[in-house]
Amino acid sequence: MEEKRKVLIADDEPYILRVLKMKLELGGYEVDTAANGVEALEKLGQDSPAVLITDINMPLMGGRDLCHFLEAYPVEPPVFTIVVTSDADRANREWAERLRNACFVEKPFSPRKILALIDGHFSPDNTVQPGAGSGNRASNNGGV
Amino acid sequence: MFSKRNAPVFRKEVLTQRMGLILIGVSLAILAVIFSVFVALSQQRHLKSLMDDGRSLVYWVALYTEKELGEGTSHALDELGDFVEVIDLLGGKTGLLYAMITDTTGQVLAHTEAAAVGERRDDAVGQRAVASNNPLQQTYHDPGIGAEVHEFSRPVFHNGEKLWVVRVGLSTATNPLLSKDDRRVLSVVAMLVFLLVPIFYYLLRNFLRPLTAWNDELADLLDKNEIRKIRCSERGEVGEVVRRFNGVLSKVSDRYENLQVALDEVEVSNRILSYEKDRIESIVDNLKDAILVTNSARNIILVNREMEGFLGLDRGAALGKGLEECLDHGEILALVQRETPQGDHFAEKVVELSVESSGGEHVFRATHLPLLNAGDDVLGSMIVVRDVTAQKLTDRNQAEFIAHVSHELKTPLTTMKSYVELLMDGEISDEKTRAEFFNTISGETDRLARLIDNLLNISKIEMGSLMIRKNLLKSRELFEDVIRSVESQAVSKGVGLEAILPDKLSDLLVDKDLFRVAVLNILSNAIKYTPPGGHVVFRVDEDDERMKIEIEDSGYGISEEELPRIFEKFYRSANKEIRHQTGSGLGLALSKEIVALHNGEIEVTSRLEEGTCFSLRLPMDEKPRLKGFEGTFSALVNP
Repeated sequence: MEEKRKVLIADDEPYILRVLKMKLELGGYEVDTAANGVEALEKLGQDSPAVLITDINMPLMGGRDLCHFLEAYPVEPPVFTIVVTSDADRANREWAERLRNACFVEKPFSPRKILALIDGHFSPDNTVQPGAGSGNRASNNGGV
Repeated sequence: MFSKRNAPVFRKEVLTQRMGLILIGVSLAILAVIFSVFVALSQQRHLKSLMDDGRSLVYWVALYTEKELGEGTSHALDELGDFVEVIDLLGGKTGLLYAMITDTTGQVLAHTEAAAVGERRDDAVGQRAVASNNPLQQTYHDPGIGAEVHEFSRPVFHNGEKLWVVRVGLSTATNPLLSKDDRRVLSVVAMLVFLLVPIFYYLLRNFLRPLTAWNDELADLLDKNEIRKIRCSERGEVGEVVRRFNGVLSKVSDRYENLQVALDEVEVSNRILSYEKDRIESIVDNLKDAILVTNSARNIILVNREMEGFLGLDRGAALGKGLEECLDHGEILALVQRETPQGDHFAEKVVELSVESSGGEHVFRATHLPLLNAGDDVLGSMIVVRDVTAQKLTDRNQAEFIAHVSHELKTPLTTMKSYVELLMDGEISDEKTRAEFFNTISGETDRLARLIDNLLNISKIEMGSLMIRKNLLKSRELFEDVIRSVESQAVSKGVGLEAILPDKLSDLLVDKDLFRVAVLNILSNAIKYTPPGGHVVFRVDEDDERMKIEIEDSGYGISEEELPRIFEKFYRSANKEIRHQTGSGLGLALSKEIVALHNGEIEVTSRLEEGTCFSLRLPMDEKPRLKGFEGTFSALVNP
């Protein structure tokens, strides 16, 4: 049996962790959660997940610092990162658009489309285009 | 009008006195000149007469003695003494000093002074007289009489042989300076002069009288320090001069008055300008912006107090000096010296400076502006430095606020959307989970509503548009209602809630809805951040000055570093236990604002892992002295 891909979700909202975990597990992924960036960093080192879904506003360490850490110390195979944010100002997410192998999803997002985004990323033809966000605001800089 | 110090003062008496003295002096001088002329002429005549007398006398004596030789020499010699005496008598009138006859060796044969007969006169004068074969005139100085002596000599020959020499000496010293006739003439002249002087004086005074009156008038003008026409009734040339002088004076007076008016206007203008200058300098000096102004030669002409402090220079010493000479602030200097692409030094340029100080980082915006006149000519430049720290902070706070609001609003929406989506997709088959999902959606809806309420209230408070409607409330009912609202929360979490209210509680004059929110936020937070098994105490106490509401929990506590920030909007503790709970970070901020609106205050004490105690104090003027419901109430909800 094929080993399930690991997904790490970092968010300080327990309800969001709960629903995303449930959706992705139903979609066939092994899901772990972290309440902040520090916890996520620990789990990234331990579990080597294939996908990281992270919120930006989190205590101790936010999603931005987490992503910059990943940029500075890349792992193999590269982690496909989905940055989730509620900030509508495009100027505040320029940094995310420069990230490699990452895409950007605006809140409130659809768990269904998050799943589709991950599936698309790992599909052989890799044809699924970004669009998990409610307003199709997702952007993909990682050549999904 | 005139400066008295510099004005010469002329007096009539002084002028007259001077005129009299001058006339006397002049007359005496004239007399002295006349006297001198008379003396000189008299002496000249006398000398001429003396010369003639001398030549005649020596001729006659020689002729006489020569004539007498024919009658026998010895006889002639005997007669010679008598003859000399006669000569003496005659010569006394013409200043005869001596007459003598000497032989060819210089021995005196006869002399007007008998004692001299027989002496030998071989001095230089005598030798020359004896040696000469012709009549001779000599002049020599006789120290005995202290005067010039004119000697006339003539040799006497008989039969071709020189027998003797006749010598006659005469002097003018014995004569008076003036002859009798001269003295008489001089007396007449002196009398004439002394008679003419008073007449001349009288005439002159009459002639000068109008001038004297004019002088008096001028002296009066100078004394009174004024300009006016001079009174003059004289005719003739003097009167004409005075009238013309009056004409000139009138014009001078007019010009003076015009100048005085202009001077007054200039004085007023100067005062206005000085006042305006002081006012503008005072305004500039009190501006919060630092200002430095230079002229077109880039010399400093104005530095206000803020700029003096900002640049740390002594503006008294800096004024008038070159900008580069006084300015050692590298960035400001670079701003001033930076040329625009067009090479214009005086164009508007801006730079932002970050300065670290004891009060933290400050951001300044320095602007270099040209000062132009109406014709766009550059008069100089101005450097304005403004502290934009607060503005920057406001901009950042505003951006952070928007980001926070966006985050806080979208988070429950995301939860709701996700949960609904899973329910709609039919992926939740378990009934219990479905119920949990519906409860979560309902809870998040309430959270969103509360958040919106809090946001609106905070916005209204900050904008000053929140209307407070204070009503007299039975405080006990209000507190019981608050406790009932959180009872289910406490029960579901397993936190004990104890309310301790005194038997007698005064009524409260508060805005019921807002005050309820203020107390509820704190009480709800206390339960939220207290772990299961803990407890929360709600205690109310009052005295004559205030009502105190204490909410004490045995929760996670707040660190010392975070304590000062817990009332900031959107501030949430970094404590993991607290972060796991949903929260907007607005509740405490709103509670504090509401309590402040009721003139109350909130104090908080906390220890990590031990708990936190919030104390709300309301002053008694917010609490009328109406004793309301008196009864007892206590709620003890056991986990």
